[in-house]
Amino acid sequence: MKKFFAVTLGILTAIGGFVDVGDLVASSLSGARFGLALAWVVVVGVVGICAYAEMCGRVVAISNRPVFDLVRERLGARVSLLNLVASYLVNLLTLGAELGGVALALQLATSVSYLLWVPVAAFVLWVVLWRVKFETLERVFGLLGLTLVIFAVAVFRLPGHGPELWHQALSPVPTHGENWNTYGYFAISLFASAMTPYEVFFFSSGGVEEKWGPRELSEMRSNVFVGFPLGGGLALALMAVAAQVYHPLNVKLDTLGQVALPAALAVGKLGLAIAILALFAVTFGAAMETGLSSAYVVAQHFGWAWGKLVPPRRAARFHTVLLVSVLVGAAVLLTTINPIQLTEYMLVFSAVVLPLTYLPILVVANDRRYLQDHVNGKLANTVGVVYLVVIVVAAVAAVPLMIVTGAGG
Amino acid sequence: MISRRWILAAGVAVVVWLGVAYCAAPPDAHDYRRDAVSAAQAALAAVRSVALAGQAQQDGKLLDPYLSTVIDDEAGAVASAQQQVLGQPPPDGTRTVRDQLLPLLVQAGREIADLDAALSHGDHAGVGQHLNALHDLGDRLDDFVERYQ
Repeated sequence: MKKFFAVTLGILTAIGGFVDVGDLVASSLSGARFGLALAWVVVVGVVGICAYAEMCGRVVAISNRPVFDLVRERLGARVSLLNLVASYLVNLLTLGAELGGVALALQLATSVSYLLWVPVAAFVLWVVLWRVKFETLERVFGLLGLTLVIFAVAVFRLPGHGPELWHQALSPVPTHGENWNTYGYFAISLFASAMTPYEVFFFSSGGVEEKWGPRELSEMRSNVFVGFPLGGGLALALMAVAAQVYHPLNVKLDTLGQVALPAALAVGKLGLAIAILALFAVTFGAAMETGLSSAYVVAQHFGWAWGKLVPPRRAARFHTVLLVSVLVGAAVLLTTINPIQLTEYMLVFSAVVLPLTYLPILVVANDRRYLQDHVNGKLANTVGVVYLVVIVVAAVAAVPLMIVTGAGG
Repeated sequence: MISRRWILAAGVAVVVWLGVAYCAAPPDAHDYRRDAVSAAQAALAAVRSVALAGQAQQDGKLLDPYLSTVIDDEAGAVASAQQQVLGQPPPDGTRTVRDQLLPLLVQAGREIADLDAALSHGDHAGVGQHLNALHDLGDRLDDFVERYQ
């Protein structure tokens, strides 16, 4: 019974923790512009993150070391440093975008400008990361993120949820007024939102923090193979409500307020309040994950003491990087850059560095020195290689498509 | 080896310079039309989002801080669209585009502000009137986008 409870809790946490500001923005913008014509990309992205997260989890459970640590040992300092620089910069952008999401959600609840909320959100984030236990952080915000279910409820309460949505989902081509370039640009954004690099760093480092061993393999797999797809379902719900409300009106979304409106139209004030809570929970939860991931990758690369389980005095450099990352993330937002635009740029640059994140994972997951008999089988390698090709194509096409389309037009 | 590096660096510098020169060039008629359509789309999104939010507020479905934020955001989007169109002189053959779009953008800003005032004062008749005006304006902006896209 205790085991069942732990597995269920893990799955629920994985569902609620799957969506972040990248998914919120990419899914809603795509739904408004293309209906459900890009829904297949979410499915492709979820399969990809499941495949690679399972590899990461397996590496951690068998070797008791995080993936980034092994990347340096296996591929050498140069490749690892390149990986570190790219991953850290994208993590910083992501952290800024998540903090922006937190501040925008607070603005929706209070009507106080998000710029005034940014320093407050950054300070609270740092205090929470300093004081609260890892497991508590993960569980509380993962479970609060489940309030995103309000958008799934809204799908069925809004008009146009029947055959029309199916028809859009089964027509994976640009809609009227759009072209293949913008379609490709949004496809890459959606794919990158599902496979954002910090997710695997956090997942693998979190496994070490929670002391996973071979006995936790089944629990880890249930979290990945059940929790992540259901979390992807919430991203699809966001896309669907945008498709129902905004696509027929030819409206392009550019604010978080527009993202929340369908919940209000469908369920009223309570729906709106739950939607705003969900936006806050998923962005704050993801801000914690990206903040920790930034410090994880740096500390693991340089071989410093790291982690929430180590007292801050013994992991001073880890906590310093964490603090500096949060400050830089907040500083980026205080330049008054639009947080939604920052998120769009973050997704493009995430796509560019995806090969640097996922190729080393594939290499390490095939190394018997770390995984013994638990190295990738034929299926995992086939899926891994196919996705690596997709990842490389997305990485190469991301910036040219951003330029050609003017960041989606 | 060093000379190769210098050649590579010079090549990158030339490409960057050409890129900057391209981006800094004044817009031609095609660029101007594209920017006008982009401004019209931003205003269309603002007008229709405010109309949805205004109707939802009439139906008692919104929270006041949320409504205030949405209206502020969309009023800002319309102001940016106006600046985008006014910020560059229309190249030859595109004056009609500007003359058709500007009145729509001005009306969008005015209707959003008037709806906000009517909502604040609880003026139900006024709210209904401005919602109708926003729906009509949305259709005209949509027509503009269709015509020039």
